[in-house]
Amino acid sequence: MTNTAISVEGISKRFGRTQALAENFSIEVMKGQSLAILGANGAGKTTLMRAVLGLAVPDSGSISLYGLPPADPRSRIGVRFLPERISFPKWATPLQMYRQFERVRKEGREIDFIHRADNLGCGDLLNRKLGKMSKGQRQRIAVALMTCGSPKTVFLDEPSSGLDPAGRMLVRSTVAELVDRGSTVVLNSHLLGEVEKVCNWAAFIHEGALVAHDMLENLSRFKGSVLIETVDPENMKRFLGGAGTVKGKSLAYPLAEEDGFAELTEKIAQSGVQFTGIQLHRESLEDIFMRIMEGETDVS
Amino acid sequence: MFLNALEHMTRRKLILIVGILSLCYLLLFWRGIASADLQSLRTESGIPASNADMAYAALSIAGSMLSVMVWGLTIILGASILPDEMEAGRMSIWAALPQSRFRVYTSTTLAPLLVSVIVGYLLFGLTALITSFYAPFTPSSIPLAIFSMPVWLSATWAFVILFSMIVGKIPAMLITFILEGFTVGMGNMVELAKGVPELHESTFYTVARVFTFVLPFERGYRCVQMGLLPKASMIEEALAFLGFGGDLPLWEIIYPVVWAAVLFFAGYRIFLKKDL
Repeated sequence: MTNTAISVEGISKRFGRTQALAENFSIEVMKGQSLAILGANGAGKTTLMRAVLGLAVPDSGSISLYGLPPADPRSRIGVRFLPERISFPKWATPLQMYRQFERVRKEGREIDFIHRADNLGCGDLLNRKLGKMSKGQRQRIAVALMTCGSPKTVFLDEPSSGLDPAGRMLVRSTVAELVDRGSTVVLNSHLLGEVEKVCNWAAFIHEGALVAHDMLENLSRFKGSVLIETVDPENMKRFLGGAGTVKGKSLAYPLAEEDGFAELTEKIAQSGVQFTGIQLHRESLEDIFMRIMEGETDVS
Repeated sequence: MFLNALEHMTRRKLILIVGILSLCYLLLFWRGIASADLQSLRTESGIPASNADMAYAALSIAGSMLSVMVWGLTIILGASILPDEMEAGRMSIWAALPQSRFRVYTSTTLAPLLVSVIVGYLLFGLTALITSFYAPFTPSSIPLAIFSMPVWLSATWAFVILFSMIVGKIPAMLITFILEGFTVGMGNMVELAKGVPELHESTFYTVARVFTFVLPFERGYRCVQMGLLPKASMIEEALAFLGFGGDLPLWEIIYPVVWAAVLFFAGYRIFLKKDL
């Protein structure tokens, strides 16, 4: 049995004169992977999601979702999709919307939805009309509708759109929970700080082409220093020969090669100075994003 | 999915407006027919009009008004169902659920047809019932009236659904309204020509006939009236141009259904290739 959840092979997609997905676009997503699709506005991220779900028909190439073409409804069993823009009917309550979805998908229990809504801080809104809710409240409901129960795969297109910081945090923990429970998550978001916390893979799309696709830890480059957290950074600095910059309770110590990390760790352990953590200073997702989007496509 | 679409459809304010208008119409019709001095009505030759004549007159006049209302409802609901769902971003969610595009298309589009047919049955049925209180009559063929209602409305429905995907909601409504009106006019000409042999030979008749064949919107409506109106009426002949009397070949009743089915599947082909 294959371990592939999504397989995109050599597709392309054009909307009129706009090439939404470049020729020969290919990507593979394994079961249980949490993949962030990143790129500038109009890069083709949403088009890719829609093509995988069979909502946009590619001009060439092939797509399979759990081994089946997207046109086959069985490929979407257990698959959820939250589009970036959705306008619920004003008359409906969240519970009515949930029942409408369940009439078709027949996957969950109402209690799971109620629990999810509670976790997202909107459990008290379930009988209120969606037309009488704020944008943020509707977005929380939308996330609850699409993430409740045990979905096999979840496609989230800007799930934190319109949410306050507390709401964003709750959405993030919801996504993290799905990942922990083994769901495959495909996330499209501009909030890189959040993406970094819940996704372990990233795909960078630039002008419709896939420019990088790897695990985040492989994409992130070593930045030439080690961050040592210690109760006495000045003493640690002296012990390490006076190099580095003290900042609060930490010392940024320069390290030319990543390979020297083990040796340095050993040296620090022998210093006798109390420390609470040592970590390689690597690029954040934002750094990677900027580097790739600025045109550096050699990401290895 | 069909239930979802139906639930969504019946929650629209338009349905409430139609409900209120229908109620107002029925009350006014009731009041009108109750206050009319039906016993004093005479035919052209001075013979007192029979109950069947009175019912025929009342229903044929009321029918014209009702048909515009039911037609209008079918056009507005049919033209807006798919564009509205797509604009709101809900269609992508429905289509991303484990169901085929065919199911999404049929379930979504059949809901407005069902609502229109039910409204049609209620309006025509209640009008006939009210009429029968004051001018008791026996409809020519209730099964024909019942069968013809979906036949009539399906042609308009399939046309407007298809056009809503090609030109958008508002243009589809306008185009259908205009063509409907034109086709009814042409249909009247065809009916008129049946009683005037000279007209039957004219090019105009041929054009009108072709038009009603290409756009068979009004055949079904005439069949509804044919089934509902009393048979034993003396004024039937005088009002022959309305095309509610006489017999209609079976193929003319079946043809709009086949035509609607072809357009419906053409619409599906477009929907299938549409990026949602």
